[in-house]
Amino acid sequence: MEITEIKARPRDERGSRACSRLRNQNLIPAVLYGRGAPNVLLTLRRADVRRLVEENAVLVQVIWDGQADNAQIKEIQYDALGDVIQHVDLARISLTETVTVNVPVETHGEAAGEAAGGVLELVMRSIEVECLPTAIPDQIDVEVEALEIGDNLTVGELSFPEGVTPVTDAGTVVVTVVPPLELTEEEEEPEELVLEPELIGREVEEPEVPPEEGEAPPREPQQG
Amino acid sequence: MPLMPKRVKHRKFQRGKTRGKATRGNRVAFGEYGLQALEAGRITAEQLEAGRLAVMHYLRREGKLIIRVFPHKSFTRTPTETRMGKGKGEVAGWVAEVKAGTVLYELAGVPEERAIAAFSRVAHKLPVKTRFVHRRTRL
Repeated sequence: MEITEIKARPRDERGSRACSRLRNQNLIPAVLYGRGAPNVLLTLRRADVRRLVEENAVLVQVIWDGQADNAQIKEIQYDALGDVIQHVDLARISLTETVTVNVPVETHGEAAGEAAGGVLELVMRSIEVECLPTAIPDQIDVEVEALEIGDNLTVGELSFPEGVTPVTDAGTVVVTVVPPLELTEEEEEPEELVLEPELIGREVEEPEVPPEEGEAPPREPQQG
Repeated sequence: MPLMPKRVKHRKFQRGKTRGKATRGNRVAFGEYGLQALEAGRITAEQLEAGRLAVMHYLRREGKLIIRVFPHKSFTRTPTETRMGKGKGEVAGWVAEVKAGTVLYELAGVPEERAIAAFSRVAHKLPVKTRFVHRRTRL
């Protein structure tokens, strides 16, 4: 996997108001941390970060203040609607030590179960793997042609490139072929139509028993 | 049968206000495509069901639909021609309160064009502005 260069500037200001001012200037606050070195607060250009997202970059070389650090993009924070990038987390890495990353799963071919009306369901869209930063695969290819309805493929059944070890449990299902959904419009209504939900904590009302002969009826409370 | 809770602590609720944007349930989590609310509002169980049927009729047996919201809150209605007072009306239905940014429906296992067309039909059934969104692949 390629290492993308990105230029950054150190920043002194911290806090939500200072970061908001930066965002208004098309800058994005970021933090660089890890490997025993002190944390560094940085600003990145919004256009540079957008480029990283479009390229699906995982590794970057951060150039700041005459220094260059290799880093892994740990997180990109977005606003509530998911449009505007708010913050970037960068973790320092060494190119000679293994890292743990999520690699997307890519299916190939049409499953036999799909031809029979089933739906191919990707249960896991990315798999956590451990490898050297230079050996991170772009994707993990999964051949699904042999899958019938009800079949599934687990992490242990997939083949990984050399030097790449899955961290995710080997028994975890990655892809499955499920039976097609049925239209439930024509379903018969249940005999007892439930109109209201049950109330939690309400005592069950006991049916009133008429008083037996010779027994006085319950007295009405006296009004004062 | 429209959606409603099985058990509740109280039958009737105060109306309240829906403030702010969704900070959870605002990403496509289970499918490949989603329909995201762009404004806050109340979606009735009937509207949710109408949206589900619109997708089912369009896609037939293709793909998988996930409904990400649930009508947890009841609303009441006083009968017509009734004088004011005499207490809160009877429960008339159930609504899902959504904030701007909430992903309402998700689709998996269909091509993008089909998903766009299906969600366009759903959007016509809903009382809030919506947009079509994709899942983020890596970050």
